[in-house]
Amino acid sequence: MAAPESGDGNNGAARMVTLISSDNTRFEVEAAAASLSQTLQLTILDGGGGGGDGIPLPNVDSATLSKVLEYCIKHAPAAANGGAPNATAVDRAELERFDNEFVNIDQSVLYSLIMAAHNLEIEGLQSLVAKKVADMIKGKSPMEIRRTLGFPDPTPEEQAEMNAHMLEYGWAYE
Amino acid sequence: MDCHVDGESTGDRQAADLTARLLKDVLANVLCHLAPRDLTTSRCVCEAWRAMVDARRLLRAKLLPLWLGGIFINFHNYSISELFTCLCDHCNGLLVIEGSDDNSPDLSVHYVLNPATRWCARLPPLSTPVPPSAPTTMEAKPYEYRYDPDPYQDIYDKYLINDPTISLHYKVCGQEITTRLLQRVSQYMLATKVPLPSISDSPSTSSSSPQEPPLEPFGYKDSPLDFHSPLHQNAALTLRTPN
Repeated sequence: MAAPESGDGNNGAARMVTLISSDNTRFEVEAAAASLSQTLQLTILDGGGGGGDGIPLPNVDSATLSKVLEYCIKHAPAAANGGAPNATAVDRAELERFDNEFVNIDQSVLYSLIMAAHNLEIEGLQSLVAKKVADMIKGKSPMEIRRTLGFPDPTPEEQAEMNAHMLEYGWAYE
Repeated sequence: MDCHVDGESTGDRQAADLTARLLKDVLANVLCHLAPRDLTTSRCVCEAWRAMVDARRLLRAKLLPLWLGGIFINFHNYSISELFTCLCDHCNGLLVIEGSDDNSPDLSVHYVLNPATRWCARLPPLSTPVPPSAPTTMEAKPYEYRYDPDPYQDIYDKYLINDPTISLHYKVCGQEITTRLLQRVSQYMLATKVPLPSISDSPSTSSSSPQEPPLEPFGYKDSPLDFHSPLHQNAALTLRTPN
């Protein structure tokens, strides 16, 4: 079902590629969406991923990949415009709303997502998730950060060191 | 402050693995979205984060002002702020200040400090000779000072040369004679390939080689070194007046 045409920059709408997650689930998406990943873009430009072949992604499981692709599909049209100024305010507001909801997820999913975004080099997703994690850190004390991000309880030495550093940076909590 | 609910520990352990699983690049990407205040807090979270913030100079980029006009102290219950007067020189966020020794209050001591990170280094006593090996052994340290032994150093002005975008090392010069300081500056400029500011009527520049970049007036705009501050202009004036 994949259209045979390839090589032309303007073929995104028709061409489909298949991505295979680490647990062997196959995902068929538009090449334009998958091309948001810098890593995949080269393979796709070379004509890979079409037909029955599929591009194996051994580092990304199916749950994460479906989430990643959800992002890519939503953002592909805007990216195709090159973030052009003709994107209306409504479109942008809609994307923003989508982004906010998109990262409103369980922390473990968030971690998987940020790693996948890093491996696949999806710039927008990388900074979106990084910002989300940064928001979880903002305004918290070191101990609260540890708890939020699920660090184990500090050992007495770690605790002492933390206290010493917090003393040094007391102004940050004023 | 850190009393933990018992049931959390297993979940913590599992999630901790997730945090540790993040690549350094990814973690750095997260941390660089934080404001300086949150970055300092993050430095306290654990050793790995502290190392990350320090190694990638995340705070440095955000906190080091490239220009410093002066420092005011605001006392509680005082309506008037006071100018921090013992500032000898500053350059790209580092300060040289004159202070006193706790043990011998009469002794004048100079410190180099970075108010943004609260880092502080005491310059060696004026009469202590620098051992011959000093320049090489200090090469590896994040901050390096060069201080030539000179019994009259305390009457000279101190000049600080520091450009964090090029090197973590800084240099402090006592202005001994005009040509000597000029040599230091020009050596530094040449070593770091910074265009040499012009000090027109000095004998030292006239001996400089013709292939040097074109000379620009002091206050050269694109130079990473800050020559715009009044202190540097003073330095320039002094340089133009041979003893």
